[in-house]
Amino acid sequence: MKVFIYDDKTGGVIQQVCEDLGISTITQEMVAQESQKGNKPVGFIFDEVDALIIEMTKPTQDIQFMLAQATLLKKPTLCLYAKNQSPRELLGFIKRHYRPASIKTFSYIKKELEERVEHFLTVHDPESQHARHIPNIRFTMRLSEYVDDYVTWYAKEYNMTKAKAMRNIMHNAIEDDMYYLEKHQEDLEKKSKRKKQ
Amino acid sequence: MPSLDRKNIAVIHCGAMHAQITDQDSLDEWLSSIWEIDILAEVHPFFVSDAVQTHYEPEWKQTMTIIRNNWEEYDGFVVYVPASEVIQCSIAASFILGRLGKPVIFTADPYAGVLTEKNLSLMSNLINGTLMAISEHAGIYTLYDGNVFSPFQLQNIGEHNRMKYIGEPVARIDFGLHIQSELPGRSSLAQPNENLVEDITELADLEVSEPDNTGLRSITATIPIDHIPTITYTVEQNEHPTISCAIGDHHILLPMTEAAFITKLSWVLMNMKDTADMETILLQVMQKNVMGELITEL
Repeated sequence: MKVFIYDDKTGGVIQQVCEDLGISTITQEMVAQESQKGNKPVGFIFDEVDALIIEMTKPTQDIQFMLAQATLLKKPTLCLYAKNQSPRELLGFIKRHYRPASIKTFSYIKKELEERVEHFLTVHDPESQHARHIPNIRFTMRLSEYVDDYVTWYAKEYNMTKAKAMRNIMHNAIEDDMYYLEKHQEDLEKKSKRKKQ
Repeated sequence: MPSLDRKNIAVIHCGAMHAQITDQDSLDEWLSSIWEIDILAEVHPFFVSDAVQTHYEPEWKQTMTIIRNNWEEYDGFVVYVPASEVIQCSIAASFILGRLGKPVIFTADPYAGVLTEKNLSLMSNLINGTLMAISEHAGIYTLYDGNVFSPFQLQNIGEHNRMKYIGEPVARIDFGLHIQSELPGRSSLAQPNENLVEDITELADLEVSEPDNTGLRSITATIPIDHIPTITYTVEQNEHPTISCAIGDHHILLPMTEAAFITKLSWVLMNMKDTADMETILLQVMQKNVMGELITEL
């Protein structure tokens, strides 16, 4: 997995988390250095990364550009901003329009940062988690009119089928449920230990 | 808190961008569906043509008129033309509009015409063009392959609308915009050419002959101008493009691309059509670096 990191605030914490997990990283400085050596990317550089992590406490045009390209290409993107320093206008813009499933925003305090980055990377590592995100389990259910109204609106608003709308809504609910994610991670680790024994 | 800086950008569709864009309404609808570009700028579409091939009259002229007429209203302009014409069109704009105080970015999609549900290369190109159009760097540029060039750096090499470039790009776009040359900044003083009071300057219609066995071509202007000297040229096969040109009895070497040479000649002939000593003036102006077209100064 290769991750692009834009970070001029945490003093290298994000990059360290990636390296500890054995994940390859790329930054703007690295691209510039390679370009100076004459090593130019072949094709579109966004195609070379699997995900992006952007520290966006202070929004810039480059950050807006990265978000635009990453969303277009559906690259999982973690947008971090320091607690009580939220870039309100940019956040409001992202949330006002349809919230693309690929963009996650998170306000952090220092002690939460590593865990949050690690969680994002673990979820989006295509080698370990990809299979779990393929919708291949058939499930029939009845909806109330109230719920159906919302799903119908969501599907129309964001231009997708109702089935995809349901999956998006549930996927976002999972991503926001920290209690579940912590417990689920514990369960996975227990299962993994049992398998080894 | 830092605010979201969204400039107003005009996007001008001048041919062959997308098979489903056929008029102003379909262009409006297509652009409004691209949330991704909305995060960068507020874009306003102008439809000129959906033709696969466009020409100076009426398409390029209309495009330049839109830029001139809407100059105050927008912070920058992105112009889409057919890939086979992007070099020539951007060069023509350079001479006609002059040195500008805002960015005007010409680009094309080499895969235009392929009908896909969401043409990613086209949209990605549009985002790249918008990034340059909202920057603080003024002038006319051509976007190609994730890099930004002066229009005078580019040459068509024929197949599949591929181009080659001379020198280094003036800017590189990867995860952001990286300027690699000294570029002029925005200026409220540099507006589209002040001569364009009534109308966009014409370009003389030139006919270029097929090369003879020495590679020599002759140029004929189809406008009614008196005293046009005989003009012939060959393209020298050097490390950098060079035009070996004979104007009347005089022979000069011009370090420029063939596209720049033809377009500049068209522009010069049209602007000086009432001049008595045309041969002398032509020689002087063609050897003068008017808009950066002489490659030694890139």
